[in-house]
Order: sequence, then C-alpha cells, then structure tokens
Amino acid sequence: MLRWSLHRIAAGVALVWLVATFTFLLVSLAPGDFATRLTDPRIPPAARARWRRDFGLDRPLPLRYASWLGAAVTGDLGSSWIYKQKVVAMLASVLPNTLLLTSLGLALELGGGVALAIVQLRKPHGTGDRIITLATLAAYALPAFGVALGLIALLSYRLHLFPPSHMLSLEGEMAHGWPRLVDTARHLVLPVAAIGVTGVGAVARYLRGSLLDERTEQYVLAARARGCSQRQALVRHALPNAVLPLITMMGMSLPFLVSGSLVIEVVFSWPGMGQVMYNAALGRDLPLVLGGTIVATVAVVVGNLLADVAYAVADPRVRV
Amino acid sequence: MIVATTADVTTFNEYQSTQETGELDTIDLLFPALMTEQPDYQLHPPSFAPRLATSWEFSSNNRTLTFHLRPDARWSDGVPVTADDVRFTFQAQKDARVGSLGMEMKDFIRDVEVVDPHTVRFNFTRVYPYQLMDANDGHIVPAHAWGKVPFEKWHTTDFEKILVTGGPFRLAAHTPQQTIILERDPGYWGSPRPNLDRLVLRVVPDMASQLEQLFAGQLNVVQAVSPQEADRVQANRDLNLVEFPSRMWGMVGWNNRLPMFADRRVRKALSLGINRKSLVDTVFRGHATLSAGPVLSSTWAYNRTLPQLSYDPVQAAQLLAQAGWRDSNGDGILDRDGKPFAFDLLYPASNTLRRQMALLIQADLARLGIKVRPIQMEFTSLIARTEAGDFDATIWVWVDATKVDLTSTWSTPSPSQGTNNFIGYSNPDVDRLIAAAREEPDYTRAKVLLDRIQELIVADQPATFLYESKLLVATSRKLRGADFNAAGLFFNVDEWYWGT
Repeated sequence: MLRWSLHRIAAGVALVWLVATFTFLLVSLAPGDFATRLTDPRIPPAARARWRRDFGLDRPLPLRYASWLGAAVTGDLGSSWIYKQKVVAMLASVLPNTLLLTSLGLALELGGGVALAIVQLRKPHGTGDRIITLATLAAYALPAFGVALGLIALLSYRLHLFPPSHMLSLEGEMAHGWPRLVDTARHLVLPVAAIGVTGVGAVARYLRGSLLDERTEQYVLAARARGCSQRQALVRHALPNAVLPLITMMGMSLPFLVSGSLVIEVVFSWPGMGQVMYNAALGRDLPLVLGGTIVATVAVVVGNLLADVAYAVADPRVRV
Repeated sequence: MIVATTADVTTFNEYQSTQETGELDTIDLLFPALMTEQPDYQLHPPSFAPRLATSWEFSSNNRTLTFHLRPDARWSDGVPVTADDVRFTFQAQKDARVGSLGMEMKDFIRDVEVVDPHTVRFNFTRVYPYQLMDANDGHIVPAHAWGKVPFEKWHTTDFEKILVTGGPFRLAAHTPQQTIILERDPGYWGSPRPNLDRLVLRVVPDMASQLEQLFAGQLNVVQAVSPQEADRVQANRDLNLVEFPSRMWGMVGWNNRLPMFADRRVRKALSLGINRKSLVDTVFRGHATLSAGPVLSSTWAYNRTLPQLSYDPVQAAQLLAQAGWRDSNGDGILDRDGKPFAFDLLYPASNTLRRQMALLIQADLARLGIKVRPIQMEFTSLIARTEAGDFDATIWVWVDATKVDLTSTWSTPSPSQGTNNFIGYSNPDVDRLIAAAREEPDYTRAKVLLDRIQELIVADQPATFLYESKLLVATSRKLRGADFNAAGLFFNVDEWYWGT
C-alpha cells in the first residue's frame, strides 16, 4: 500500500512537471508575447521593447525556463503580469467560485443521469424509455451556450424567476449571512442547470447501457429469484456494478471541475477559473497560465487517484 | 447608475496598467489630474480646463511651466494633495523600475520642482508643441501612501490594498470579475460635485448579455453597441442611443516591403478596386464614415482638401496592367513573371465586422483578377506576425491619440525607437516633414506641414483607408445630463442625474 502510494505520488509529480514544461514551451513558442499587445498609437512604441526587458522576455528560453522552474519548486508561482497579484492568491480567489458551480453541475449531471436511467429501465424499449433517450440525446447534442441562452431567455427575461448573470446581485454583495447565501443560490440555478442539462444525457446513456447488460446477469436473476423486487434487484444489485464505467468518466471530469466551463462562465459573467485562464492565455500572461495549468493537472492526478479508490470500493475484485 | 463593462479593472495604479480594458476611465474617476483635456480638437489642438491646478503659466522662454494647485485639495484619507504628490508622480512616471507605459511622454521634462506646497514647476529640455499635454499626462498618485512601496516592488504590488484616492468618487466595494462600486466622495474638493450617490460598474464579458440586461433594466449604460444592434436599441422606448465620432479608424495595410505591393500604382489600384463606400455602409449600417487619409477627419490636423478615391474598377485594371499584372495564362487571375496575384488577408478572429469586410474585399478584388484568401487569427498572434513583417495584408484598426504625431505609424521604421509602422511604409519626404511638424510649436504652421504629409501619404496609398467608426452608447432614457464624446465615457459624470 505504501509503495503503491509513493509510486502514484511520484508519477503524479512527474506528470505535473511534464505538463507545466509543455505549457511553458507552448506559450513561449506561440506567436507574440505579453508586450505584443501594446500596439496602440497612444503608447510610445519604445514601451514594447522596454516591457520585454522588464519581464525578462528578451532572455533566451532555457534561461527563462530555468528561473521559472527554480522558483516554482519552492512553491513560488510568481505574480500575474496582467493583474500584478500573486498567482496563488488569484487562483485561490477564483477557484472556489468555479468549484461551487462545477461541482453542483456535475452532481446534477450524475444524480439526474442515474435517476433517468433507472426510470428508463422500468420498461426498456418502452415509450418512456424512447422519449427519455431522445430527449437526453438532444440535450447532449446541444451546445452549452445555446442551452444557457435559452434558459436565460425563458427563465430570466420572460418569467423573471432567476437572475441572468453574476454570482450575487448588487444587494447580495452588500449582504451577509443568510440573505447572501440565498442570493448566491438563486444565481446558481441557471448556470448549474445549463451544465446539468447538457451533461445529464451522457451519464444517462452510459448507465442505461451498462445497466441493461447487468440486468440479465445471473446474479441479478438470482436476486430476483430470492424474491427481490425488480426495482431492488436493479438498484441494490445491478447498479453498483453498472456504475464502474461511470466512475472512470467522473474521474476524467475533474479537470472540468477545476478549469471550469469557459462558455458558461462568460455567458453568466461567473467570476471563475475559466474566464481568468482565457484572458491570461490571450494576454500571454505566462505565470498565470502556468499556475492555472498546474492546478488543473493536480486535479487530474487527484481525480484519477480518487477514481481508483472509488473503483476499489465499488468493486471488491480491485484491490489497491 | 449601473454601467456595463466587459472586463474588471486589473490594477488601480495607472502606472502598472496595460491600458487594455478601459480601466483608465475608472481610474479617472478616482484620481486627480492637473488639468482636464477638452474634446475640442476639431479646430485646434485640445485645450485644458483646470482641475487640481487652478492656473498655469509658461516662462518667457517656454522652457518652464508652473502650475498653481488648489489649496483645499485632499486625498480620501484627509491628507492634503500637494506639489510633493505631483513631483512623486513624475518620479514614478520616469522610473524604469516602474515601467509606466507613458514613460516616453516625459522624455523632454528634465525635472519637476516643488516651489511651495501649492506651486510646482516643470522644467523642459526643449520647446515643442505638446508640452502642456505631456506635463498633464497621467493622474497624480498619493506620495504619502504609495511612496512607502519602493519602485522595484510596484510590478508585484496590489495597490487596491493601499488605495488612497482623490477624485469625485471613491471605491466603496470591489468584487473581482463582478462589480466595482464607486460612491461619491463627500470630501471631494473639486466642483461641480457629482449628482449621483453611487456609480456601479458591472462586469459582463459577453456583449450580447450586456444588451439583454440593458433591455431588462438591469443595466443602465452599455458602451460600444455594435452597429447591427443599433436599430433594436433605437426602437426601444426606454432606451436612448447616443452616437458620436470615435478616434477609431480602419484600413487595409499592405506590406509595402513585398514586391507585390511595392509599386504605388498597384496599391492605388487596390484602393480603387475596393468599393469602400459600399463596404463601410454595409458593414457599419451608417454608423461609420469613409476615411480618406492617415489623420482623423474630426481633428484640427485633417486636410479638408484631400481627394476621396471613388470606386473605379476600370482605372484600377489599367493601373495594374501598367504595373505589369496581366492574365497571361487565361486562368482568370492576374500574373506577373509567372507568379499569380494572390495574397492572404489577415484579420482578428473575434471581430465579426472585420470578417465581413474581409469577405467584401475578397469579392471586389476577385473581379479584378486578384485572389484574396481571408484568414482569421487569434489577436495576439496576428499582431506578432504584423510586428515581424510576416504578412501580406491585414485589416488593421488604430485608435488615435489627441496628440497628432505621425512619427510612430508613418515614418520609416527605426529599430532603435521602435515603430508602429508595421506595413513598412517609407518615404524620405514624409519622414522629413513629420520630423519638422512635431518640432513646430505653432500649430497653424504645423498644420501646413501636416496637410502636405497627408497629400503625400494619400498619393502613395501605403494602405487603403477604409473607415472612421462612430461609437454607440446605449443608456436608460432616465439618465439625463450625460455628454458622451471621445474624451471618455465619464467625461461629464458630475452632471449626470436621474430623470423621471
């Protein structure tokens, strides 16, 4: 167990280093740098060359990489070039917002998907099953921004049920305690729904497929023979086995949890990782891009680890 | 009053700003400046109104400029705003460790002397037309608060934590990526004081969402409405649409270094062969005017006698033939020395207006037998390629300063000074005249030189001048008293008020 853990941790660290190095190269080799965008007749052109010196962009690539890595291993990810704030502090301020949004979105995806699949399997290939299959497929095929705009148009502008954007209303930003929580919850409804609606289809499809397979397995039939109801046999016996591919799928979704859905964040003016990382990439804000990438990579590593553990819990044959 | 903005303020310290997100508009509400530049540059260079300075005068040899400051000016923490703050600001602007974008504007100011707490003197190394503008450039920052941070730490300091302001508004709250709430500073010494108690900037990155929220009444002001949406805003009874000339103008920049575009007959043919009037009318739906040359028609420096090239494909074809471009192999595309007349036209991916322009240009030039391949690129990559001279042609947009100085964009590129002349235009006569014009302290005499420069550049057609766009600001009809103009969204924010 200890060896296994050490092995996994070492592999994880190596992966983070590889991804960070690759990102460093990609951003550095991409056309343009942080100073490129200072093209404006109102800004003296000499300022560009000056900024390249100031931010060390005129130094050779290996040198820049070495000094970044040297600082990074000590935990110093530097300061954002655009925002002049510590990268760690910036990410720490936006990451919770994204996590709140995406974890609720994923929970809705998962919960909704499981519920739908179970409903569908009451009568496989019946009318209900077909309608749900069609609906989930359609939702899966829809682009996230389309769903988001549709939800806003209907539930916000037409029916005035939920706010169309932001994490808090102006009153909410001033409030504390319960009113603030309620306000945040109201603002969460539409973006979470937008994530859930588009994702629920995939979960339902996966689960329906594997449940359909498991349903005819002998252990399920045996459970039925022992007098379990159809529903009990499905939920208690077949579901734990059918859920295995889903665990892998969820493990793979962890980077989404962290890096967020850019489209959803932009449409809903949500103050999260997606938006910050997007602007950082466009502005070639190397320290911020690298910081965000590292956080996302760590999430993947942790996600896979959790998926493995979850696998072991769900499937007694797997032992870590 | 809730104003939409596409991006949050990245820093409240102007001298650390990349000036990309329009945050200077916000900074202008929070910090004092010596004077306020007026948007009256149609007939003469802009004049200045008193702000922190009540009056100013030049010495007899014009090398010294003395400002008299308001004795009652205070920072938001009650500390007086004095000549020391002005000198400290100048030191920050000039310091290489601070790396302010406008540093070079202070090149000819030798030093700033404190005469007494309310009198400050700027000493210049030379006499030139924009002394007043260069002295005024940048807001005054608090020496007593920010002087504690050594200049080498400015790059990595979060100035919001030590924010001390001195403007009509002060910062009440800031939720990153969401909201900036400004409130009227009761201790503000300037006049008039704003009518509004609060001014809220709400970050809404998506333009379509901004408009929808304006329609829903959740926003009161949306800057930069796209021309396609103008009719929809105008049709709404609760909204007002204000239109005014911006300082933004667009052109097709031809890479003058390439053999294909080196001949000015060819460049003129391209300008004649693009139906510019129809292009501007189609894309901007009447919210832009045709551009004739390198100087904005809304400024005093514009040469009003410049000829406007009309759409003339026949003359264009003749010019191309004179330059040796003929369809010798009958494939419908002109060629010369066995090479077809074909090039890539670059434009930024995020900009739908410029995509439409690229397609219209492609269609127009196809009729002349020129093959244009429109290519969209991510913005920073596009600039990197033009900066490196690695492009054929690009649809480019400039936002001009009120200082009319054509050096960086139209003088022969100088490696030591840096340049914005990406298209590689070079005409020694133009270089000489530009250098003379920027030295000429008398603007009426400078105007004569500038008129001649514009004639020469237009005759050379290093670029095809396309349009000068107008800015469209949509507001709630209840907002009264606002005078929107190119000087900035909040130019007369003191006079805004809520009507019924």
